[in-house]
Amino acid sequence: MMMGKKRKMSLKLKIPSVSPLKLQSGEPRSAPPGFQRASLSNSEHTHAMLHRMSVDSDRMEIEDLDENEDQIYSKFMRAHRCYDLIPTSAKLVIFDTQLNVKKAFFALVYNGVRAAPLWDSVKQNYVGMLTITDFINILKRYYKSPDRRMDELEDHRISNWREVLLENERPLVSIGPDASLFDAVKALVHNRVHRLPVIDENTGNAIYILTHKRILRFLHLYLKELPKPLFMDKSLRELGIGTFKNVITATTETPLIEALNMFVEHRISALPVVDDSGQVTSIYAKFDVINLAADKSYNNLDITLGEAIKQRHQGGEQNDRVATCFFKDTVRCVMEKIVKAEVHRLVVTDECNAIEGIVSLSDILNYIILRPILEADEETSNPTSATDPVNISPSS
Amino acid sequence: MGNSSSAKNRHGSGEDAAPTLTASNRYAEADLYEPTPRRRARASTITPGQEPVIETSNRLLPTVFKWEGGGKDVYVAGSFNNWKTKIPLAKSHGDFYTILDLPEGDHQYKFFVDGQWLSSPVDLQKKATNSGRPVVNSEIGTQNNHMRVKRSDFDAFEALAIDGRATSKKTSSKAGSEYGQDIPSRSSSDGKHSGPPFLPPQLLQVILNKDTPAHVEPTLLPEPNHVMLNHLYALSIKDGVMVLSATHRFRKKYVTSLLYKPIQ
Repeated sequence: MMMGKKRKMSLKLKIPSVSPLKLQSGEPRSAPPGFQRASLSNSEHTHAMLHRMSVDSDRMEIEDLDENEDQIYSKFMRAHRCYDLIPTSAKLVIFDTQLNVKKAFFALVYNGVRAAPLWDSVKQNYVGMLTITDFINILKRYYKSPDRRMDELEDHRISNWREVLLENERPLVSIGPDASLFDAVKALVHNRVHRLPVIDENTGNAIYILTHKRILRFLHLYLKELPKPLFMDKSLRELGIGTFKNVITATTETPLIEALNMFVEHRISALPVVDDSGQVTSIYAKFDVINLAADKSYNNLDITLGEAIKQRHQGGEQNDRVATCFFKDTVRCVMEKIVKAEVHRLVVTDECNAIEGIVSLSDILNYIILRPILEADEETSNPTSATDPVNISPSS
Repeated sequence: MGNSSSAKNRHGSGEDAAPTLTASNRYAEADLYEPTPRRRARASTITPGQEPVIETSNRLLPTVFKWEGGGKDVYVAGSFNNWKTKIPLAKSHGDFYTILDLPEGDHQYKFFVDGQWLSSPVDLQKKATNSGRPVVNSEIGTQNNHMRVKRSDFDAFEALAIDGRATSKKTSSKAGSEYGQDIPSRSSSDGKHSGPPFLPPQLLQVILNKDTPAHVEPTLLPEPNHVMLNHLYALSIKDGVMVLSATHRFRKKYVTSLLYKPIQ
């Protein structure tokens, strides 16, 4: 869906005339949150991507699955390594920290990826990730008006930008290929990051980038082969999964720059766009911001969200249905929907399409994978509150 | 899938570029020698100007004629057939050969190359270094090549001894023998210049250049052929940015990294 004209890699034989950063306008586009693929191509895709391996029944037995069905997915994640999720052949885009910031974002767009590890050639190490959030932060920080050129975006190197960030710089969160997927989920959720690079400890090479979406899709492949815990048939309302209070929304009249500020201030990844009656009409996600780099329209952030969304769909899919679910939907149903839609979050609506809340991949993964172990741990450390202290997690 | 096309390419380029031994040439040579008795191979060691051994008989002995001077159509004629018929030489490996059954004794001969009568330059050269008389003047005043066919050349041990003497002599004089320490220059054997060898064709199949199906995640690539691994590919520098890529194997998975690096 991303590539139009591709520039060719060559062994110095071909000299293509197209710049690596050149893009055809309107392309690549984001996957609109409501974008639904034919289920056939979807399953084809996931099967092609993941090196499918049979569930290691021996290992699962050792962990005594029957003992506590609540923890089944946690144990499944413990039994699989990050390595298992890595596709047979994939590309990884890496930026030198001396690269120009703007060119780096263009390269993200060109390659159709959302994040890239940053290589510091002086330290000879990976020092961070460049994501769309960085792009948003740069726009938010340096944008003044449509007439003023953003020198920082044009001229800064990634290293300059990292110096600006220094005040709240965090060490790079990464994981080894032999760490369990459970640890990967923990790292993603606890650090509140969306991109987790897998780095081989022996060579220091980055191998892959883990995301919530890729992990949940992996679990989804095996869902039918695993026993079903009780919570799968309970509704979001019963279990309290998702955000239902103080949901941040925008309208089509919200200026784009204001939307970017909301992303940063509230640390949210998408803004449901509602009309006057509270009905959800669209959604604007962080990922859509990369379109501003794609069509070089980042110089005017005074346009409204409505206009930005319209641009998003120029020359592409007209399917702009927001991926939604209901409060009363079961966890299983929500998982199906979110995997099929290939989005990071679903907007929870009532029957009239009015917004009630948001449920994200983090919410789901946290509930089905981290929570059962966490609760068991609490029982262990505090046996008086546990109903049955013998029935505890074997390996936490 | 790459195999058939790469084999074809390699074969094609080999034939275009250099007179290296391709399969077909080698077979042609084998054909040339095959139908004759094994000992005939020794005939090639007959070079003009060896010490004369007087011995006569009516037995015919296979004798190799070789023309190394290039050309398109090469024939040979000589006193053995009273200069009546021009016997065509077959091209093999850049030179022209034929094998004729000749009686023992002295023979004069000359090559007819693309419409011109020529003496073998190799033999002319020998005239200076050898005491023999490889080139003789015929009655009508032209130069002909000369050779003496001797039974002794067909005796294996005798021939080997002669060979040994010949090579020891020729390492210094450089001319003539079939085997030696000197690397023959490529251009002299065929006249065409060949460039450096072509890139192995399988390396031209860059997985990053392959179009991925639209519905697939953009980071997914086709599985690489193992020969592509650990080769550094580059995108030509544009806007001061260089892109390098290499595919490595990590256990059973392949990782293709693209490094974007600015050029100062």
